[in-house]
Order: sequence, then structure tokens, then C-alpha cells
Amino acid sequence: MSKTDFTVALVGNPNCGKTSLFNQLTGARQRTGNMAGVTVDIKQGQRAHQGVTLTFVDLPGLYSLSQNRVEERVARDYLLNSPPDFVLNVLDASNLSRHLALTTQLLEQGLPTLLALNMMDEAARLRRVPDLRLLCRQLGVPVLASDGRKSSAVVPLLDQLVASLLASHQHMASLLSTCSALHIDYEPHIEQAIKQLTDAGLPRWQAVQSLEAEGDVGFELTNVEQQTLADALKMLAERHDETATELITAGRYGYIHGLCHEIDEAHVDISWIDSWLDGITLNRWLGLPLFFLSLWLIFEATFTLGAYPADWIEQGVSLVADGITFILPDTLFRSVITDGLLAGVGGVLVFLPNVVLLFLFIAILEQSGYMARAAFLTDRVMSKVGLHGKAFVPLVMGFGCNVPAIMATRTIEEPRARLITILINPFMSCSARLPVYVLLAGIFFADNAGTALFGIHMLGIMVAFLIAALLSRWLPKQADEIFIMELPPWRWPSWRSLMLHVWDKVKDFLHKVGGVILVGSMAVWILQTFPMDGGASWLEQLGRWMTPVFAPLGFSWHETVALLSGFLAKEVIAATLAMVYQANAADIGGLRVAIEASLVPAAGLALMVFSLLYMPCLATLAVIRRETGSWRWAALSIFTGLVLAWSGAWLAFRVGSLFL
Amino acid sequence: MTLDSLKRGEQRKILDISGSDALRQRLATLGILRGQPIQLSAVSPWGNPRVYRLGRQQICLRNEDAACIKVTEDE
Repeated sequence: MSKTDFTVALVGNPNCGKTSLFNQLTGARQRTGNMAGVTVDIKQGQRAHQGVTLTFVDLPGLYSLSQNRVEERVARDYLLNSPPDFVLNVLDASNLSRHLALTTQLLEQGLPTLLALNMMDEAARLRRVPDLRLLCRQLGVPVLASDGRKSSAVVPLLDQLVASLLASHQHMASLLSTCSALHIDYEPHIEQAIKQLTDAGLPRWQAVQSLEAEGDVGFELTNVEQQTLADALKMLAERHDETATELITAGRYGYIHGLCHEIDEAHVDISWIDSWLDGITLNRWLGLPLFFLSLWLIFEATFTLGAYPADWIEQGVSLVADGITFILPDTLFRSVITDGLLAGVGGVLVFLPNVVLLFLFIAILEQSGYMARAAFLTDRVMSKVGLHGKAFVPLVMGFGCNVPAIMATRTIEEPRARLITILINPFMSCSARLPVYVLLAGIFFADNAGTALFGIHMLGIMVAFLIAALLSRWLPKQADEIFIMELPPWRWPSWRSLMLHVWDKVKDFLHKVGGVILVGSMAVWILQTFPMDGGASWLEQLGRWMTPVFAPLGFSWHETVALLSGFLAKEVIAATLAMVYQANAADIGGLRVAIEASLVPAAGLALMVFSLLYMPCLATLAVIRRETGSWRWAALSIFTGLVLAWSGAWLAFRVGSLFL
Repeated sequence: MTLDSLKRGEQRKILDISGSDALRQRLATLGILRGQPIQLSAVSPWGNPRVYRLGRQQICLRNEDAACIKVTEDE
């Protein structure tokens, strides 16, 4: 009985095109799983090929197996504790020597490995095409060209994987080990240290790795081994200015240089288009204005391009509503469908195109390599307010949804910087707040709606930085984490990856529409419909009772109950507004007219500001509690949110009344 | 001279790397080693951090860390 299920781990440097290849290999059959004991999400996906089921595991991008950062630790421990059947090592062919450094570590460890060289077209353009057959012969493992952007490129890769897997599985079954580990000759003193460690009982790769990582390794060392290691490191420190890590790394590069001496990368130039793009985007004076201009363009496009498909959805919903009104008699049952379901859920569904567009633009920023450049441009400001450069990605992710964004802060190792990043994240306006803005901006700022969207998001960023500055004064300072970041080469986003990403977001949105938004709409409908005694509904009574608090902001009871319901999820604000106003409006289009008649423009602005700043939604609160380990921070988050929202909205209403 | 005093476009060879072990480890894994040529390619609006080029790679370093890297006086 031969085995037909295999696990293949994708390992590679950051920005080697690993994730595109993973998407190409697995298609939409993916799920994100939290590996036991570790903190960074790892994606898994399956593919059947030639009667074999391959489970691909996408490990975080890493530079080295002997470095103790979160990303490296996850991959290192995964390879040690649950060894995959095969390692698919993805490399950038246009920057081969740096990427091969990791490969030498994998091969030293004796892991069954297949090399997939991405970016062969880029290497060809630079006239540095590596000789795959030569590499294969010298390293003793299969080497193939691949391309995460072409589906045809993965078939040979899968063929080779299956063949190698079946072959190595048969050998293992016959107790024959064919995988001989790579042996690199290091500097003489390093070799001496390795000898002492192997004499103490460590396999060679563990000896090399513990020297390289200076004892900070994923496997257990006995007391004797630890003592030998300490002595060896002391001996090396006495004889060399360079650290053991530097000596071993130099050894790896020496070996790689011998492998492909014809590839002299030190003199390879960056392509003119890359230099040109960097010359503009990283320009000392133009860089930042250009970044903000692109953000403005994104919001402008989110609003204007989203309006067309939103119209179609709106027409669809009102068509269904008309149909139901025509077919069904005027009963409570009809009311629950038209005034509850269609008004509430339909009122949010209309904004799906805007949300999708925003996610698409953020993904393009990320995949093209612009995100890393923006992080570089803003690093100084971030570090001034106690944030680490790594905070940039979680903050931008917050524009999508605060929940995964807060989880992404796990890569920040310094606790204070991480806590600040978590606490300010809710001020990064998530896509759930987008429906309220799009609705209100469309009514009150129809001519400059995109600019209004941009402005409200910028206000969120400013408040976030202000709070970060305050928190960083208040929380005790800790040693700063080192900030070194590689700027990836500019790349065309892979179409397939973008579509998969967007599809994921559409699914999330629809799940939410069918879940919390549906529940919220039903609750609001019940409160709005009962008691049926001709007087004010429970909802109106509640709203009127709370209104004194919100009256200074220019809100009526309608906005009050909408904001209350938004605690469930921010999309519900739009749903509730649609329902309370639509009670006496003919169709969804009438909603805009009804709101415009009830609210002055300044109050509309105040409502946008309030929706931006007030407390995080339930899911975000839960994740703040989980990630900070205490309800105190979640409570603080509610409190500061409410105080800021009220004062911000009051200010917006007062100042807005003067100008609007 | 140290890396942080480079002017834009200037290229030098790395002579020596000091600083904490953690920093030296990070630099080594990125291929920033003695003897490598390195060039300043971009400066952020506040003059810190800066982007350096090593072959095909572009690496962003803060000036505090770049000051730990000693380079040759001229090309």
C-alpha cells in the first residue's frame, strides 16, 4: 500500500514570488490555519496530481533558518517539528546568490528539496540566466524554472514533485537513505568548532546552525553541547573580529560563488525602469506628496468606479422589493422582508463594489512593491511616535479590517510598539465604515465625494498618530527593535493572486451580510415595528431617550439608534439608517432624499467623524482583548473612542456649520 | 568613514561591521558582509532612514545602524 497524501512546504526569501506560486499551485482551495504554538498565520492548500494529493504549506518568507525573528522561528520550528515530505524552495533567479544562501541551509539539514526558480524572464532580460542543469548536478537536487504568473509553468513542477516524492518514499520504505546532506567547507577555525560540536554528539548541520545562531536554535542542546558551544564561540571571538554568523555566512557565499562564478551579480544593474520608478517614488521631496496623491486617487476611484455596479445592485434590490410588494398582501411577513431584510441587508449589499475596490487597490499597493517604499518614507514619523517600521503593514491592513490587522501585529516583537500598534488600529478606518461614508459623502459632498473619503481616512490616521504619541510618552520605553527592510523590486501584480484575494474579500463580506448584518437588521426591524399600538416604536423611544446626548452634534433619534446598532458591526450603521429612514420612503433612492431633508450638512460631517472614531466593533474588541491579554485595554479602547468621537463630532458640527 | 556619511550615488566597499550581535546577524543574513560594494541610492524626507544598494538588492537602514558599518574612503 503506497502513500498518496504528501505535504510540501514552500520555503523562500521574502518577495521571491512564493505566494503567487502557491496561489497558482493550489487555486482557490486554500485555508488559513494557525499552526500549533506559533503566532503567524500559515496558509495551506491542496492539489491533486497524477493520483497523488499534495498539501502545500506556505511558510512565511525568511532569509535564514538560524535567525530568531518571529517569521524565521515559525518556519524553522515547522521544518523541525512536523517535517514535510518535501520542501519546495522558491528562488528569485535574478538575484540568485542571496536566495541560494537559504538553500544551502536547507540542503545542509538534509531536507528533501526541489528548487523552483522564479523570475527567469527577469534574469533573461539581465542576460544572467542560470544554468539549471549545472545547478542540479552540483547541488544534487532537482532544479526547475517556474512562474507564479503562468499556470502552464506549474505542471512540470508538479510532475517533478510527484516523481521525487514517490521515489523518496519508496527509498524510505526500503530503509535506504538517499538524501546526502550538503557539505560546505568553512573557514578553518569554524571547522575546528564544528568538529568539537560533532564530537560532542551533534549532527553537522546542527553544529553549523547552533554556531550560526549563536545557540539560539529550535532543537534541544544538552548541557555538554551547550558548554562546548560556549567554548567554541569564545575561541572564535578571540581569534576573529567577525562573529561566527558572519564567518559562516561568508563561507556560504564563497560556496555559492564557486557554484555560479559566471554570474557576477555585484555588477548587475537594476533595470532602468526600476531606477526610474524609485527615482520618483523615493524622491526626498516628491516621495511623500506622491504617496498621499496615490491614496487620494484610490479613494476617488473607490467612490466613482464603485458607483456603477452599486447602481445595478440597487436597482436589483428595489426590483425585488417591488415584486414582493406586488405579490404578497400587506402583512407583517411582507414587512419583515421589505422593511427589514431588503432595506437593511440590501442597504449594505449596495456598498459591496466600493469595499471590493478598496481591497483590490490595497492588494495592488502591496504586490507591486509600493507598500515597502511607503513604509520607508514614513519610518521617521512612525518612530517618533513610538511605532516600529513593521507597524506600517498592520496599519494599512486596518483600512480593510481591523481584526486581521491587529493579529498581524504579532510580527512586531517589541511589546510596547506592538501594544501601541494594536490600540491605534481601530482609528484606521476599516472597510465596514466605508458604506456610511459613501452614503453620506454622496449626499452632502456629491461633487467631492472621493476627496471627502480621503479626508476622513486621513483624519483617522492623524488621530491614530496623536494617540500613539501620547501612549509612547505614557508607556515605559523599551529597547527598540532593529529596523532593516529590503525594498522588493517593482513587480506587476499577478492577476490570479489579485482575483483570489478579491474573491476572498467578497466571500467575507457576504458572510458578514448573511450573519451579523442580517441579525442586526432583524433586531432593528423588531424594535422598529413593535409595539404596534400606533405610538412611537421601541426603537424611536430608545432613540429619543438617548438623543439629548447626541443633540449637540446635530443628530436626531435616527442617527442615534444607527450609531448604537453599529456596535455589532460598523456596516449595521448603514443598514439601520436605511431602515429608519426608509420607513416612509418609497425606494432606496428615496433614502438619500430623506436623509438630506432631515440632516444639515454639518451634522452629516459630524456623523462621518463619529462613525470613524467611536468604539471598535465587537469582533475588534474581542481581538484586542485576546492579543493584549487583558480587558483593560479593550475598555480603554472603548472609552477613548467614545470621548474622541463625541468631541471630534462636536467640533466637526460647530466648524462645519460655519462653512457648509 | 562610516556608511551613514555617504553621499547619494557614491559607492564604497565594506571594511568592517560592528554593533550588537543581533544587528550583525541581520546584516549578514541579508548578504551585507565585509568586502561587498555598497551604494547610497535614496534618502527619506527626514534624512533617516536611507536606502542602500548591494548588487541587485535595495536595503533600507536607519542611520544609527549604518554608523556601525565602516567603509573605504574612496571607490
